[in-house]
Amino acid sequence: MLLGILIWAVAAITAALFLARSWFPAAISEHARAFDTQFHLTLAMTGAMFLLAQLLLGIAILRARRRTKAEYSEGNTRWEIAWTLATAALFLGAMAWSTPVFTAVHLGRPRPGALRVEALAKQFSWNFRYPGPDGRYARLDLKQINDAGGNPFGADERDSAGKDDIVTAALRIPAGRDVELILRGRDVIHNFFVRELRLKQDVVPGMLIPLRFRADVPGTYEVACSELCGLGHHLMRTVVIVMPPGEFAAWERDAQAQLRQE
Amino acid sequence: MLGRIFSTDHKVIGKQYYFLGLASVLIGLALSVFMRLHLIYPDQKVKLFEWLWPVGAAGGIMTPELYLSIMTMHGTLMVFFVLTTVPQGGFGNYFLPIQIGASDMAFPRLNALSFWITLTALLVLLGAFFAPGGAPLGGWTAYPPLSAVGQIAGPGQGDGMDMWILSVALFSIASLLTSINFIATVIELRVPGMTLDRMPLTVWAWFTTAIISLLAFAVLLAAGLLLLLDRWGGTSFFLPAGLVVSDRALNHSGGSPLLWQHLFWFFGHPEVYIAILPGMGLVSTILSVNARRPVFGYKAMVGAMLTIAFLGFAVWGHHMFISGMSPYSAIAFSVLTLTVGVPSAIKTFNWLGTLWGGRLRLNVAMLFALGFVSVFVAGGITGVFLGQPAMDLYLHDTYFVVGHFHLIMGVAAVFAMFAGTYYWFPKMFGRMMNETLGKIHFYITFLGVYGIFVPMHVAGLAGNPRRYPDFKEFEFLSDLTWIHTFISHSSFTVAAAQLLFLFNLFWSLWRGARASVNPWEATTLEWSVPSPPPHDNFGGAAVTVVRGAYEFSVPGRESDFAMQAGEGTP
Amino acid sequence: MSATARTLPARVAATGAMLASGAMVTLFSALASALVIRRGLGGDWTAVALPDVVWLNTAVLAASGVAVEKRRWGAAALLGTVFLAGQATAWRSFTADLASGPAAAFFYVLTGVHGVHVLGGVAALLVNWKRAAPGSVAAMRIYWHTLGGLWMVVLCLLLWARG
Ligand code: HEM
Ligand SMILES: [Cu+2]
Ligand SMILES: [Cu+2]
Repeated sequence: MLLGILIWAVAAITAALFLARSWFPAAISEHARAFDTQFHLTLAMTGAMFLLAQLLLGIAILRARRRTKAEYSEGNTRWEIAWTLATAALFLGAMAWSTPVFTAVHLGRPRPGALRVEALAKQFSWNFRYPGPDGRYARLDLKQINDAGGNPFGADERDSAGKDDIVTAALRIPAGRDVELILRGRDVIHNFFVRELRLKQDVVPGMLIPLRFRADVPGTYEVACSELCGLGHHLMRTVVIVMPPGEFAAWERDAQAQLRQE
Repeated sequence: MLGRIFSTDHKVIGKQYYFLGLASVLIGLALSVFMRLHLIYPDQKVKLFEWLWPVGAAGGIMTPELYLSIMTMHGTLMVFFVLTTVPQGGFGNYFLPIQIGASDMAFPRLNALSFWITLTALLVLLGAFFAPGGAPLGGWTAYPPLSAVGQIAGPGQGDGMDMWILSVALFSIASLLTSINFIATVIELRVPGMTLDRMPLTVWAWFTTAIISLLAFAVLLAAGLLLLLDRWGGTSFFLPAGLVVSDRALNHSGGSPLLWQHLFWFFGHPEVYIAILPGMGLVSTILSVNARRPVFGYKAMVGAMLTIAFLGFAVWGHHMFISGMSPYSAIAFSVLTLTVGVPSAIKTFNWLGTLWGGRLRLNVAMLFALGFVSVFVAGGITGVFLGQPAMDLYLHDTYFVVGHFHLIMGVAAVFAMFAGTYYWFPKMFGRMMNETLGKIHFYITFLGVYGIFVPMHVAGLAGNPRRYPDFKEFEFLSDLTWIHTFISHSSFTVAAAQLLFLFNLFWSLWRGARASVNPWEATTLEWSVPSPPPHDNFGGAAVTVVRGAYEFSVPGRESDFAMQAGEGTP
Repeated sequence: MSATARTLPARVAATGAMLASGAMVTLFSALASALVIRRGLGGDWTAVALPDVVWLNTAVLAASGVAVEKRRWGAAALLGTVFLAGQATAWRSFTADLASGPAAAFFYVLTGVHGVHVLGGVAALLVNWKRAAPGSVAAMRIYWHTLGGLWMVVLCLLLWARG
């Protein structure tokens, strides 16, 4: 008896907790908003199934002692076919519905004029480099890696393409412009996760993995490493700073000026 | 004495596995309590930590590397030495031969050998805590390069990691031997009359699980071998060129970290079914016995199990949606994943169908079986989110996942183990467990696990990454402190409630009321023999089986249950 | 220990051996798919020459299979041992070491894992040298022929992996 009521209570509290507030941070891109829509659609569907199942379970328990003898039945093929088809349709429907949200991220092409940036993840920090006005990065030479000396990528000092490369610890991007971030690792697997973008991508040594997005709300957002990378995993933080386009251009100009001074 | 310890009697071996699993779950539980304690009081000095880990917790403060080691060991213990061991090695060994009318397993000596290898594997794993640098910190999934480059990647990644691989390899070998034994037993040793469509669903479940193990563990063994060679042989299966770890350039080239993930999850996903299928079989039986109704849709239940086993080998990629794998594969894996959700849903509906017109007997075994259905739904339904690559772009590796797999794999399987213990204890030990203590144990545990694992989901929605030793570095995580406080306190409560279980178990072993042959009025063969059964189970009698496993409340019969065993069975 | 005294019916033993073979085939399938994927990653695949002695070893293993068919357990064990010795020679005459490249690494892995199983088979043959129970006969045949079949697969993989 008690169990039936407890099951209802637990199910109700679970539902209430999920709906209590929006647990997600504000969405800052079109993809993020599409994600939220799809999430809530799935939540409505699964939530209904969850509550229905717990409700029925509770009822079955509450009716437990009403009868003196169990009804005999070995099953009901028609019902079984019905609920099999219904769940298959719901599950696969949700899947089909959500596929565009995924493919837009991973199969879409960046629009012309996209900002190209390279990210480097290593135990336990992030670096980013911008190719500068020439649009080309310095070639890399592992032997020249020098974290303390400001060369975490190991850019080859002799390569003139690197003269205008900007290397930073935080990712600065302009609002409203496509960004193509190339993820590069050099030791173990890490993960680039920005909650507000609803995006997460492993950084795998030996692979260059592109991640495309366009943020449209200026602000500072935390990046949390989300693939276990060792004892400093929980400290592997940086930020994405989404700037109004004008401010971003000014920042880029200043950074170039500083490079020339050095 | 030695003969009893190194016995080849499947019942002794079953009990040995059970107690090995019990020891493992207690250690695993203690480790989880340490983690939850540290997560909410990261700066608190805890004498116990210092006493246990003078180096890792010098001054009583757990270092991040110790947290991650404890986490890795918790996960490994729970997945391998509890979930794979108790339902299959423990209950399966004890009851499979009896339920099909056999006097022992097909290969009794091989069976004993499996147990002793498993025990060795456990000791090697625990030994990793004492290795220089401590236990490995790479999680139970042991992704390279972290797991492949040695101590430069982290303190436990030296000898500790080697011991972990060795332990898992030994465990795989033992599991392979066990599954050979289980399958051969079911195929060859069924008594006359025990046709496939009369087999109890528990037998179907052990059989299906053994088939999965046979295929899955061989792959894990291969992967472990290649990982060892990358560590010691200078090969590059999983290691690409250009690695610079701790300022040291490594001499590898051409391998791929994703290759490990493919091999590991080809084992790893079927592994979750190895953990849960025996529980499904047992819960089906307990619901039927205590609702006094046949299992609703017996054929569909068997079909669903076989479908799960089959499709379960084709969905491993859902663990890799954000790994850098091709997006096209991601979509294919996603379709298969949501398809494999369907047979699980079928099982749930059929359990409800079994209960629906029943006259329920709410004993403790039944409570845990009902609890199983509830948490199975709660944990399973979130799989519909995680199976969509689009949703996984956010949810992967957050506490949403931790909540999901604990409910569906951890808690559900543990509930089935509790149900099995309360249900079969009278048969195994000839005494009844205390029902009142059992009920208190159940209610606290039931509420407690929801209190632990549901809030984890919303922490995950807020973006909380898993495998973090503390949450101090991130602004957005400091907002979630109250959730973690609640989770930790729920977990302390659940852990404490398990003392009731332990007390009940050991007290009943010696003091429980004597059990009759068939206290639950169940129908399968083990309930036709004395409690506990004699050495060769049936005293040499010729056993025959005359009907299906679930003939309850058949109209026109006097008794509301009919035993499977025919005349002449003791 | 009374239950162990009973002898295994041949059918049960054969089923067990079939299942063990299934596990072995799966193990080798895993290694084979690792080989195929690893080669597909490209880049650093360097050619290696397969030592000629493997052909001789193949013949020896085939002969041992015949001996098993004829229930000459002693001869089969001896031929199995010769095969292992031949494989050891192959290892010694192999020009590349384990760390020299993926093709070499797979050569050692595949032959090594196969060799360990042959070793187990030889041990089982020796146990049955004098007098084999009917169960062991059936099981030995299945086990030994699976090893022979797997050796052919390994050989094909190695030829393909050579370069
Ligand atoms: C009261 C019971 C339990 C509590 C409080 C608990 C708590 C935890 C915690 C705190 C973590 C680490 C999460 C993180 O830092 O990311 C964890 C991980 C894990 N737990 Fe449990 N757990 C419990 C029972 C179980 C059971 C029964 C299983 C069996 C499946 C299990 C399997 C795992 C696994 C596989 C991991 C992942 C380890 C890894 O990330 O490598 N746990 N658990
Ligand atoms: Cu990390
Ligand atoms: Cu999975």
